[in-house]
Parts: sequence; structure tokens; C-alpha cells
Amino acid sequence: MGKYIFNRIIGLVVLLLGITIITFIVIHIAPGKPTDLEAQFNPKVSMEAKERIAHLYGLDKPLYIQYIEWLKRFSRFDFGVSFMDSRPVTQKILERIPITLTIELVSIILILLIGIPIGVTSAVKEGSSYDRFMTVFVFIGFAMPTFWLSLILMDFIGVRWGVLPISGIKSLEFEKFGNFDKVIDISKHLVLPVLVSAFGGLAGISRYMRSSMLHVLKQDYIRTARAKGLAEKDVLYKHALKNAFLPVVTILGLSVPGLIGGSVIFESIFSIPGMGRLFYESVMARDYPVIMGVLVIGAVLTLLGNLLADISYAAVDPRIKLEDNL
Amino acid sequence: MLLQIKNLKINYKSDSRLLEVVRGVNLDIDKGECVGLIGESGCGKTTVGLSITKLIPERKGNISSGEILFEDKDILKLNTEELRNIRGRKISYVFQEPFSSLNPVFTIYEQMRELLKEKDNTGSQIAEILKSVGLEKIIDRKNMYPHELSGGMQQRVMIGMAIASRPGLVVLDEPTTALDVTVQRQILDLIMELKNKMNLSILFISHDLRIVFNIADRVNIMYAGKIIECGPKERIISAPSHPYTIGLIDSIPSFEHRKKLFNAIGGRAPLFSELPNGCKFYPRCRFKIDRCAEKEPELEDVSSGHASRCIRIEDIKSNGIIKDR
Repeated sequence: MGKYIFNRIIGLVVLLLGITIITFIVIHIAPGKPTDLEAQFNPKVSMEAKERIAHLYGLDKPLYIQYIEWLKRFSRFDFGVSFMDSRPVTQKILERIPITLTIELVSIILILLIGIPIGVTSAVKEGSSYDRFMTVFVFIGFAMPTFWLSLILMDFIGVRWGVLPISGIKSLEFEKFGNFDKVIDISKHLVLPVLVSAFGGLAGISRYMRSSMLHVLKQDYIRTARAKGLAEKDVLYKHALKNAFLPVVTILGLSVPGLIGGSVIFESIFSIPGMGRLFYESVMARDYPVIMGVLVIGAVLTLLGNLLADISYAAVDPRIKLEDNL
Repeated sequence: MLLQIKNLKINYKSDSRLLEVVRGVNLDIDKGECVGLIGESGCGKTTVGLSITKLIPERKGNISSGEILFEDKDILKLNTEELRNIRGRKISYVFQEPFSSLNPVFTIYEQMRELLKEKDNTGSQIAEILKSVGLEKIIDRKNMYPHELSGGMQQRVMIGMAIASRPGLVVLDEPTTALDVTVQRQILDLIMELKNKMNLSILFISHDLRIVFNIADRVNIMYAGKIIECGPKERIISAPSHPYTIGLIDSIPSFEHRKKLFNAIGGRAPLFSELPNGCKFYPRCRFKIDRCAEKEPELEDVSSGHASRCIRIEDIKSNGIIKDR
């Protein structure tokens, strides 16, 4: 087991290196330059000035040199400084992570708490009107455009009824609040974004859970459990559920990168200063160091999520043993 | 009588219409008796077995009429709680495929523990069961999962679970079909040993005549949802009285005629959606006459305790087309 994880991590590092190379190339061949933003709308900026800026950022060097320099910094966990405001990329990312992580974590917990029971009960009552209602309900969430739903909710709940704040994460008078009120204030601001994001994600997990449970309920060992005279609740929630959970573990592993990736769309709509917004802004400004930083963190989390899923799979399914000789 | 199935009819749902797959089955099992139920795949024999404790999933089908009297109580009239007390306690099952019949994510120990009535001393109770099915060597391995056992051992576990509460009736649904031949022999020996030791009553469902003739006292032969011949094993072997049974017995390969082709019955079992009129076997029957297509024959006695569902049987026998053997 220990050796398995070690081998996997070595493999992941190689994979990550490949990912950074491709990402680096793709970003740099995308049209537009970091210098454009400063130079385009300002006729006073001369060609010479542009070149000076490019030189300052090291953009005049060959691409592979730029990559190697980036890699050298990255090996020290240094993502460089932002082109836009010269602040360290790490610092810019770190100050955005908590808010995105909070929203995503709360919404994924909500999704699990609501989606799993919906999936399981729908499978148990397959074909019933309850099952059909839930199917329609979760697919409405899945199909409805986030921005549209957000705007509707902001209009009704925020503007017309004035129940919740509509954007940002803090009220104007935030600094005057006591600690408890600060928490309440942030929570209030997060209700809508969390709900919107959870509603959209419900379909995935509940449908997955439903089909997994349906599959399990047709297995012979469920018939055995019934033939043994077990109570129906033990048949369903002990014998069936534990098996039905196995494939869902993979999904959970894959959702790890989303936890800090954030969503560009609803972070923009709700004016939440999270990772999604940071990424969007840095792409628009061709702020290469920040783009690379965000993408690399996403890649690392994706890879770790996969590894985590494999390990937890072995932990919950006795038939799977992680082989040491990979 | 321990178990009496009377005129049992079962419908299966198929593309929004109902198909009658068990079309009026009568079957008796006495205490200590081993009754065989033989038939081709899809003739309804497993369905009959499952219906005895109402194990047919609702999404698949339902029992439309009939009675299943177990110890003089109609199982079909029991509520969920009463039914649960019968399942696994008084009537237990061993299914065809041991590897899919055991839950892969629970230990053998746990799966045995949860069916014990008495929750104290479960360890020694389980040890006792494992010993009785010849699995002494895994008694101390409480963390063992089903996939760590061979098919034969898994089936021993299933048998152990089936006899754990000294049930009145054990339904063995093709218990050896998924196993290879040498293991089949061992499992059959185990079943016979337990039957004699515990005076078990058994319903043995199989498509394998030789196994059933080996193990059963009385035999029922099923075709297209009905029993077409039933009687004591010896009578069925020595004087089969339905063309289908005759065909089945003739198709058993023998050592003497090794070089010959198998004497298979021509054609295939009819689908329940397109059953013929009259006798359901007549399209494949060597002895068919026009009258066979008119009306489905009743099960009529050919000798005491031996009955057949064929209008021509006397005819065929007296003409010497088939000889008693």
C-alpha cells in the first residue's frame, strides 16, 4: 500500500510536468499579449515602451527558456509575480481560495446530503410518481442556466422582497460588526450562490446514485438477503447501499478540483472575489503567471483527487487490493 | 403435508402486458422428503421456487391466484412481518450462483451472523454451522470476504446459511449448476448427508435429470409453466409417461453409445408470448396427432401417485412405440 502510493505519486509528478508544458505552450500561442492591455488604448505608449515591458517580463526570450525559468521557480513553489499588479501569484491565489472553497464545500455537502437520498429513494421507488417528480426536479436544476436562475433569484429574493443581499460577500458596514454578526453577514451573502450552485449539481450525483442503486437492487445477493428474512430496511440500507456507494466514491474524488476552481459565471454574477473570477480576469489580461498558477493548482488537485478516489475505493471495496508492483 | 402448492398462477410483466409463466402448478412436499422439479431454462421452475416465500420482485411479476400452504398456513395471506419470520427461518434457499449470491462487501462471518435468531454466542453458532458444511478451516477467519473462497466453498457457505436455523424446507435452486463436476459431486454429497442427518425437506430445482434422479424421492417435470408429469423417481425412470419426459431421458448421453449423436428433442421450448393451443409440447412431439392441438390435456393418473398430461399415453404405450424399461 505504502509503496503503491509512492509509485503513484512519482507517476503523477511526471504527468504534472507534461501538463505544465502543454498548458504553457497553449497559453502562449493564444492570441494577444500581456503588453496589449497596457499599450492598446494608449497611443502615447510607443513600440519601444512595449518592448521594454516585454523585456521586463522576460517575454522576449525564447519560449523554452521562459518555460525553464518558470519551472525553476515552480520547483520552489514560487509562481512568480502577476503582470498586472506585481504581487506574488501565490498570495493572489491564497487570498481568493477561502471564499471559493467555502462556497464549493458547502454546496457539495448540500449536494451530497440532498442528492444521495434523492437517488437512493428514487431507485427504491423506481417508476413511481415520486421517482418521476424527482427526475424532473433534478434535471430542471441541471438544465437551467446558472446566470438566468441567479438573476431571477436576485431580482425576487434580493430586490423585490429584500430578504437577502444580492452581491459581494460583505455588507458595506461589515467592519463595524462584531464577530458573530460578521459570520452572519457573510453567510447571508453566500446563501444564494450556494443554492444556485447546489441546485445545478444535484442532477449529477442523484442520477448517479439512482442508477448505481438500481443496478445493485437487481443483484443476486439482494435476493439472498431477502430470502434470509432480513427486514427490508436492512436489505436496502445495509446490503444494497454499501454496494451502491462504491462507484460514487470515484465521483467524489473527481469533484476535488472543483472545490477551488470555482465558477466564472456565478462568481461574476454575484460579484464574489473567488478563484473563478481571478482566473477569468487573468486570462483577459494575459497575465501568464497567474493563469499558470491557477491551472497548475487545478491539475494537481485533479491528480490528487484521482489518487484519493483509488485509495478510498480500496478502502471501501474488499475485493480491490492496491498492488505494490505497479 | 409440509408444503402444498395449489393451482399456482404467476404473471410476469413484459412490455406493459402480462404473461402467465406459471399456469396452474400443483406440488406437494412431505416432511423429510426430497422433491425434484425439472425443466428447461425458462419453463418457470425457478419462479415456482421463489414464489414459495413470495420472493418474486414486484417489478417483475406477481402471483395472480392459487394457494401455498406451508404447515397448513397460506403463505400468500401472510403480512410482511410473518413472511419475514418464515424466510430464512422455516423456508430457506440455496441459489444457483454462489459468487453472486453472497454480498461482496460484507464478510462471510457478518452475513452468517445477521441471520441467526439468537444474538448471543454468535461466534460458536457460526463455528457450528461452518463445521457442519465442512468449512472448519475458515472458522477462525472472521475477516474473510466471499471473493476469497472458491465456488464450492461459497456454495458451502450458502448451504450453511440455509440450514442454520434448522428450516422445515430448503429450496435448492440449481445448487450445483455453476460448479465444475467434481465440486458438484462434493456438494451433492454434502446435501445428502445433511438431509439424512437433519431430516431436511427439500425442493430440488434443476435441469439436470441425472442429479435429480440421484437425490430426489419424487420428481415433477415442468414444461411451459405447467407440470406435465409427476411421480416417484423409480416410476419416472422405469416408465416415463409423457413424450417430453421420454425425450429428456433419451437425451441423457450414455457410456454404452458413446459414438452416437445425442438424442435431443427437436425444436425449442416455446416463448410464453406465443404458446401453442392445446398441448404446449405437441409442436415438438414425435407422437402428435391432430387432436393434440385442440385442448390442453389434464394431469391424469397413470398409476398410483404417477400422473401425466398427455392424451395419447395409453395409446403410445399399448402400441409398443415406447416400451417400459
